[in-house]
Amino acid sequence: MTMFGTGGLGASSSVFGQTAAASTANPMKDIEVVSPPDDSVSCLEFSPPAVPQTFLVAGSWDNNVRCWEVDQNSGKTQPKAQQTMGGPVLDVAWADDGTKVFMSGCDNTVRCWDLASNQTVQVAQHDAPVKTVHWVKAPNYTCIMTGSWDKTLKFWDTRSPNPMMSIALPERAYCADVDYPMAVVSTANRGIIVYQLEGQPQQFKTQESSLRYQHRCISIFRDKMNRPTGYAIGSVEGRVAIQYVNPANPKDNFTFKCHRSNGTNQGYQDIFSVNDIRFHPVHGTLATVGSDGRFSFWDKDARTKLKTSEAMEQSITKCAFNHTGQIFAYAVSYDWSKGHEFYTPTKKNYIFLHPCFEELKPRPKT
Amino acid sequence: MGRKKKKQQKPWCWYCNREFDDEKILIQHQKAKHFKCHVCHKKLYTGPGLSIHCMQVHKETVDKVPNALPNRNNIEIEIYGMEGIPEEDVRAHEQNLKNKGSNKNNDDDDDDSNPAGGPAGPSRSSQLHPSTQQPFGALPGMAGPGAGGAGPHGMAGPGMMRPMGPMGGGPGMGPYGMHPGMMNQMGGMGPMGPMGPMGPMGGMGPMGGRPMGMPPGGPSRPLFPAAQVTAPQPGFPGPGAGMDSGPRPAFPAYSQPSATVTRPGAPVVGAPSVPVQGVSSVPSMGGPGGAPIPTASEISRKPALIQQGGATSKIVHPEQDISLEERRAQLARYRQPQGRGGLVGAHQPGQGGPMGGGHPQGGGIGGLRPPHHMQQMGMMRPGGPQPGLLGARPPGMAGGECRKAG
Repeated sequence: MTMFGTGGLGASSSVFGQTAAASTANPMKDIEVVSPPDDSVSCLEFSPPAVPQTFLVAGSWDNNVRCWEVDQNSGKTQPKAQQTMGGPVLDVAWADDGTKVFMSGCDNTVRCWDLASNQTVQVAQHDAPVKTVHWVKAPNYTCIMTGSWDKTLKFWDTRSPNPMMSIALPERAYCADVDYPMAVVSTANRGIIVYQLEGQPQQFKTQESSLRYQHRCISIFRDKMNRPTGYAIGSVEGRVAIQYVNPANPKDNFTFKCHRSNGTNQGYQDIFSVNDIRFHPVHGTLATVGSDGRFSFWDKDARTKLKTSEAMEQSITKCAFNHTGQIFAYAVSYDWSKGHEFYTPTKKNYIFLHPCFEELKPRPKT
Repeated sequence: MGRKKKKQQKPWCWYCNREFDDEKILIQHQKAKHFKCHVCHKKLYTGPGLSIHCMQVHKETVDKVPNALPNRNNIEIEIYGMEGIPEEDVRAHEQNLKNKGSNKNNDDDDDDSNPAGGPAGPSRSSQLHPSTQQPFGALPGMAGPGAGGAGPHGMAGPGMMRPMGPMGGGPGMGPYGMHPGMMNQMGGMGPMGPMGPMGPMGGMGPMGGRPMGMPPGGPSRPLFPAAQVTAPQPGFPGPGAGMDSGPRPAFPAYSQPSATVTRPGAPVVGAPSVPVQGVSSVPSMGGPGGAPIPTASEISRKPALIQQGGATSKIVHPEQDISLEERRAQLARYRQPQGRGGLVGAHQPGQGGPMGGGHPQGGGIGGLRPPHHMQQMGMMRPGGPQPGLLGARPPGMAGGECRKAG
């Protein structure tokens, strides 16, 4: 079944004109990004709306951050530039004006990559690998927020070598998300801390996790009035929790299971990690990707699954939506979920682009 | 309830501590989960029956009841539904029920001894082996706090049994007697305590100053919602501030008593050492300071483990509860000396040099997994840029000398 170019897809504009051939490596027949990284992809981000073209940036365990330009109509990709860090890259973030990319990694630093000049400069430093970096744009300040395994969350005005603010975390930062004025960080031992960024960043509240296993990814969602109101967390136990910062009704919060093999493996059910969660920028529905090598689309308000993909050859480590919500990018590479024995350095890493606008439309409420 | 009923309230499975509405369902459960032959899937009626069947038909020995808690897997004990359950376990179980219900742990155990085996019915040749029930055998004899200690173990929660079990190992009983007592004083965290694996409670505590003394869930909440693994929990109470952790007892019973002891201070479970040290090496685990000496079985759990769901499901994730990225980053091939951040572009393949040199713990790498795989990965491959490849680096080799590539 082709995903491209048939009626009903992306009716408004930007449908990928070409079809890829199905293969075991590409069972969804999606567009393959050219010149993929040489090692697992650790982070994936599309350029913000401020930039007319569409760029995709990916950080990898091969220490590099790569940037491609993506043609919205054909889906064709073209490598544009690449930068290298002092260690494996763990996260990337775009500045809201699309001129800079921040990258953080195992060399304990964050670097700012000015795309125009293709130069990088170090802008932040931690005592341990920097697992998350996010751009914060407030009316009265802009900065980056960095979360590290050194149990601190720091905010940096990138012009200064010292952080503007440093907040202690109860545990190592594992994942974070920012959607002004809200930021949320999840740590080891299933900690969740919500921050309020107005005026200056401050801790708003800590929340309990509905999940009983290690947190792996977190993503903020908005309410009908387009205000950030809650977040989705994924754990290593094939489960996602939808939690509201201020639930009107305790039943608003719920969890659902995902990325499980459902007993197809000799009666065992394999339970896979949820590696990433992203919300569609237009529809508000969400996508999850897992160690099982599949991606799934969900409607959290209708509490229903929209779609699950075929299985890739390796786990899907990250995913991203472009700002128009037309393209869903997902990276297929080994996530280490089976330890290092299952690491095959020769296996190719992929980033696929999947037209998704129609598939992520919310289920009509009956 | 008004008058104390002497009969068993809800049938529960001795092997795994799960509760059932009906004894019939309990029996079905036992037949399917505990008395099922792994070879031919035939469902037997009792543990000894299973053992005999396997021996006669398949010429195989079965020494443990499948899917049972480690201290409850004696195959020779004949249990059928609620019949055959040794008295002390019955009592211990009721203690747990009382403790849970009363919202305050550790009142002196009332030794209302219920006659074992509630429902009527001829008891089979019950071979009670008090001796085999090491932990539980010991507890009722202990003082109140001890019995309270039995509580958490017994009630590790339906479906959460297996993880609890090892904690109940004989030698572990000693410390347990103390911990649950201590935890009980924290008020309500007690029963949940041992079950807080990744020290979820521990994480919560330091995190938001969430009071340790969170009352266990109100009676309306299912004790162990986790047991109902099947359906998503729409009614799952939200984590809004002030929400207590009622359903929390459903933690896959990590039972890290020593972890909970240190909870008030430390982020638990060996966490501080995890990112740096080799993960699974037992010796390197200093253990949270001040904790009573953990037993061997507990030591192996120091790096919080991700508890597996049991025989029917398996979490595809390395056992240790550290993130995949942390695990991967510890590998020699990815290691960078600290403070190298300033250099960009210099780190192309074969960065040789101090790669991994700073990593003092060959044991750490070794701790990760079998050595031979490391070597395969370590091979230089001319083609791709492989940062950090240094040729074969068998673990255990001190980081110091590995400068040569290949």
